[in-house]
Amino acid sequence: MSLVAAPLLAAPFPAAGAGVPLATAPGAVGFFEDLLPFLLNGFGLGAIFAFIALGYTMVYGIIKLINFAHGEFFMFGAYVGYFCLRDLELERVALPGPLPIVLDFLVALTAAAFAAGLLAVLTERLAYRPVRKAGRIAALLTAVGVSLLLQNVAMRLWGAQARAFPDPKAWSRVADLPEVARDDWHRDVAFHTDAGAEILEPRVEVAAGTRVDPALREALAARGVDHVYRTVTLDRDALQAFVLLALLLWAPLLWWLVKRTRMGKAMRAVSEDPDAARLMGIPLDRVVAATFFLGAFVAGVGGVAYIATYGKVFPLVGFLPGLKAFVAAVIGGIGSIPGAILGGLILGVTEMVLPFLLQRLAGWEEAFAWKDAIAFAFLILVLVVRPTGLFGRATREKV
Amino acid sequence: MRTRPARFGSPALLAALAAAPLLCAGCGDAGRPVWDGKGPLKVGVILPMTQQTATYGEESWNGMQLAAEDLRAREGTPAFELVLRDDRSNKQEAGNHAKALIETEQVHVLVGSVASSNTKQIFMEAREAGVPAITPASTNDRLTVEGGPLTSRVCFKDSFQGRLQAEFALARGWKRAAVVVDKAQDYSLGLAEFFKQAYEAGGGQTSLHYYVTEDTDFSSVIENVATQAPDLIFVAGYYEQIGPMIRQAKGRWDGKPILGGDGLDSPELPKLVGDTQAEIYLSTHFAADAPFERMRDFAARYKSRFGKSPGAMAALGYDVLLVLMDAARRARDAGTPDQLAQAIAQTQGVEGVSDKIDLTTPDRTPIKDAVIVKVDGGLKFHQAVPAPR
Repeated sequence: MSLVAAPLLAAPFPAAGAGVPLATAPGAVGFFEDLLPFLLNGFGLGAIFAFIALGYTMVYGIIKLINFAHGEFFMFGAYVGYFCLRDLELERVALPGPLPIVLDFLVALTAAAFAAGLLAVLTERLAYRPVRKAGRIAALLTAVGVSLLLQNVAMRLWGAQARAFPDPKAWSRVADLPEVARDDWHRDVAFHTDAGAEILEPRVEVAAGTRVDPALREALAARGVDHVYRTVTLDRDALQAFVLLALLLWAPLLWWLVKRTRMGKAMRAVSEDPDAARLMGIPLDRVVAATFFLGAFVAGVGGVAYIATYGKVFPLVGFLPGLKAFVAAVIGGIGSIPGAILGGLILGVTEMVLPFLLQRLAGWEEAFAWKDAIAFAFLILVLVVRPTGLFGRATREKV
Repeated sequence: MRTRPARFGSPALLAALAAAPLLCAGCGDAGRPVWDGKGPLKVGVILPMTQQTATYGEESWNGMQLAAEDLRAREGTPAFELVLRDDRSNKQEAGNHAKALIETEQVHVLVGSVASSNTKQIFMEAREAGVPAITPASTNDRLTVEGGPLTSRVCFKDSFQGRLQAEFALARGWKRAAVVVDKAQDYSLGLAEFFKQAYEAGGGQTSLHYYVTEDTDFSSVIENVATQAPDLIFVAGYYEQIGPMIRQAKGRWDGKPILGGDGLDSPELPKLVGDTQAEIYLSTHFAADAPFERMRDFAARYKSRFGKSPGAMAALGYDVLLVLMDAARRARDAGTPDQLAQAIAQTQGVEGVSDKIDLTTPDRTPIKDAVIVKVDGGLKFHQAVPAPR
């Protein structure tokens, strides 16, 4: 069939050097100036990978299970956060300044974290515990099955299409509006369809650039408009800074949990030798459940941060980040907590910086369209040099 | 009527089976389902009802519902029946559904899809089976050329769209454009190429930046574009990627105008973009608030029925059924209902919502007016662009 073979375009783009470069970097200063944002983005992205990788590595450390459903806990947290932000309307709570939005996010993050944690505990109880004694292959296949099941349940419940991230709304009383409006201020207005359904849609009450004089205020009050809102899109820098900060706070906390608490001690004991630990009176099932909860708890936070940064949520949102976080955990040495964090950051930075270098130094214009392939090739290289990952220990399997 | 499961045999086997008159009363000699003009015209509709471009499917289908009502109320229109399939915004599924609709459902004509890469698969199946096919909204130039004489469309094509965008940009003095391209979409590659040709012919300079449909993180494209310090950013892609891209570019692309094609025309776009205050223009087929009576009437009716304002896909969904049934009526009245594709190719002066539609051009593509829409809270009419008639 000629149609299959022939590309739709008669003349596709010449691959490299197409188009005239509009600006050429003058020397090394320009080079490093251009590199910096890629480096920072790499850290922001890497921090999210690290967040997810922690869950992989902890679960693996304890029961030697690669939990492929971990990306779905991340997705579930993202959806719970989405619904909190969209429907709770906590921004309406009368608090000064940006506090209502902060409150809104804190509640969404907490809800997402707990929801993801509970889903993980439930999954462990219903799917993983029954096959724990059946060997690692059975457990691995169960994990793949659970991952697909959760993806499809999400499609069934929330539809397969992507939803735009619900931007928080900053509310204001009409009386408190500034002299000149800098943004569009809206109000939701109801209208009825032929079938009688009531639908709310935002209507601009005060357009950006309008002078808000007493006459306008009176006119609005006469129509019963006392509160209006504007939507606030958080910028990526702020969100990435938040994720990095959260990681900086969470890492020592996790270290303390594992090294200094009874539960942490029990986790380390189970990781060393589950049977011996149980004989010493350690409640194995509770320790495993707690590990799943902790890992997914953090993934839930990562999920909300991810959709806020990248702007949409969909049932497969956890798939690629989950896969990459798994890669990050392997690079760091699976089972190692500092390894997961470092591995995540390395993968994030590699994904951004390596294509940049290939583009700039090797003149490969399309490098960024291949960034996943480049990052995974890098992974293979790391594993060839260090098969156990950066922090992994070579252990002899007991036969 | 079911003649055979789709997975068996060659077209020859199909022909042999179809030759048995008891098995296949409505089929022609090649085994393809042919309309006899007496029974209802069976129309197979393939649209993206879910996944990446779900709003396109929803809007097109809603538009077709309104057209179906109008046509059924109109004297003399042949009876018809719509069979809807969801291609899930995926090219393989579009092709599979086309095959299944022809072979299992025995549809007489195919309508669909929206994304050019998906429509290409439908046109291939239609051409092979000898069934007419018409797309409401796929703009890639090559589609109806490679699809053959049985294929047609009711929207303008990308060579026109790319040129009008280039002229729009150059007229504003934007001389240097960063062109952002989705490597995985025929629509994006084609539109970018036509824009680039026209823009460079008019004295503009371009640089190219690539992403792929599956991306969620666009920081590399965003930074590369920012490095070029262009006057204009041309985004040839679909709203589901470009929306989040512009959102993520908040603080990076500020003050740079952004220009795109009808792939951005979705009610989801403003939500995906957020409050970035970016100056975004897109060329498309229809605007709900355009100062044309036909568009406003349609928009008001659509909104009170479906609860939201229609985008261009709704108008094209309406128009495609109008054109198809106009051709069916002419074919039946002329006593040649089996010549439906020829009747479609002879379409003249059908008053659609988007514009008046003539398909007598060599590639069965109408020459139509476009509108430019500005994203400002929602999609707002900016200006009309007359077609070169």
